Amino acid sequence: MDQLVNGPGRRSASRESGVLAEHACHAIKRSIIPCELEPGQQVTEEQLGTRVGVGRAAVRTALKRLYQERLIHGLSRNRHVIAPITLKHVNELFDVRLPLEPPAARMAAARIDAELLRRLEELCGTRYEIGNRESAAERSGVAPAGQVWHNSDVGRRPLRCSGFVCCATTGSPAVHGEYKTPGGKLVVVDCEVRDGRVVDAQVSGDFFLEPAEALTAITAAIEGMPADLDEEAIAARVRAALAPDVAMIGFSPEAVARAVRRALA
Amino acid sequence: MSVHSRWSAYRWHLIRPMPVASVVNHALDEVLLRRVGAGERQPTLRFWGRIEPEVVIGRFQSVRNEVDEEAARRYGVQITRRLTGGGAMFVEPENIITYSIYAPLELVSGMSFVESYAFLDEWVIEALRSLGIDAWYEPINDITSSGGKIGGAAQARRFGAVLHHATLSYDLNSDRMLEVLRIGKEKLSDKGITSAARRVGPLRQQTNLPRDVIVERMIETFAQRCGGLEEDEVSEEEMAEAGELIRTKYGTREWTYTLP
Repeated sequence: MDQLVNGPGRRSASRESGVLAEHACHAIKRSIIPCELEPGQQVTEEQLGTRVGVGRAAVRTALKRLYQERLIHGLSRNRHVIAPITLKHVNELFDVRLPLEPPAARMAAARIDAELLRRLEELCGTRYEIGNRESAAERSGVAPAGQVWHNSDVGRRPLRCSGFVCCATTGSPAVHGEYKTPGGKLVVVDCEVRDGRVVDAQVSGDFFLEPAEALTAITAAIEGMPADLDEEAIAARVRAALAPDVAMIGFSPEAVARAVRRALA
Repeated sequence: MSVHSRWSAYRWHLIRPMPVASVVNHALDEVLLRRVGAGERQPTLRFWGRIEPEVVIGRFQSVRNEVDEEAARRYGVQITRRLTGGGAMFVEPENIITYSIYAPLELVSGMSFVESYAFLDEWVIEALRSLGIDAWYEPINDITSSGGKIGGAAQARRFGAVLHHATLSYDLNSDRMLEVLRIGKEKLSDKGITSAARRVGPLRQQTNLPRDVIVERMIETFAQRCGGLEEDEVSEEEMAEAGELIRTKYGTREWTYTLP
């Protein structure tokens, strides 16, 4: 009899704590995303518990998930830090936004009026020195400007977002492509495209290459190439750059070419 | 020349595990390889000893693409780069068996790279089978079994010699591995599976044997194949050379963070 009573009781207790952790997780996330909990801010489990109204056990469970989502990092047993926003994060974000937002902007452009345009310019202009990536205003301004932006009505309208992209990314975004030869190894290409050419290229992966220094030749074959070359032409460039005694094990010039095309796609 | 006579053409030396910091192992690989290449040391089989968790990336990988540095820092995991190509591994001292073979190039003469991988690990497959594991070699460089992947090898031919080292999974902390390593979907694309952790079939799970017993069996099998194995250790001079290489190469940020 005891067992009959205890069994379901325990289960419902654990279900309850699961619900609390779930609630805590969402509530903390809702504080992080609009930067109410600021990037880089240190917090304790007690502070988080008080903030979202749950006990430490639920906070701890929630923290595990927030770690996985990389929204919070652990410093020590009970000290945690809200994930800082770095330039790399911002760049990654814009990699996603760039293909999505210009079409949205085109659709919204018909509805622009002078007042909205004025507010947009005000927002961009006060926080950024356009075209100067090194300016202190820009470096320190990225997070707060993003916060103002996302909290503003204007920021929620797609047209504004593409304007923001233009202001914030004066350089070219880094691109990344991967290709794994079936039964072979992974080739990774990281590069940027500037003025229609591939720059800052880096080829990496879990392949084998003898001699190791041949990697410099492979990377050099891609550096500066026109970004619209097709796979065959890229492979030919790579092949031509290699000395006859070079052994590529688990990959090939064609595999490098495919990874490049994927990066540029 | 028969396969066994290739091995038994040399007087092999054995270096047993000596627990050292992660960079020391990588520096020792280069020192011992150079020495064998220069004829200053007999061909050698070395088992590695470790004192700390480590992510070791291949010669051609980038830290940024392979490692979650934040997670590595959080767990005190060292990030190192080895001399050979291949993929990133997450390593905890008691969960792993690593060995290095340093041999003259003639040991693998006439073989393609791919053939030489399988050849240099044949004795391991034999040892694992003798422990009841249904193991085989999966080209290019995987030691695998019906119970899952066991380990992987990597090679470099330098300084007139061949370095062939391999790491076998004895046990696996897959949660931590997945936190510390970035394992992309493309990497698993031709494996017909979606989880890197599920691919692995650690030796402990497959044999229930202590780690040392497996290492001993490997040593016996190797000794049998090459007709004897002389106990040896890293000399003081070799250790000093390793120290110098740590200072100038393996211990530097430049080595770990930049590609050739």
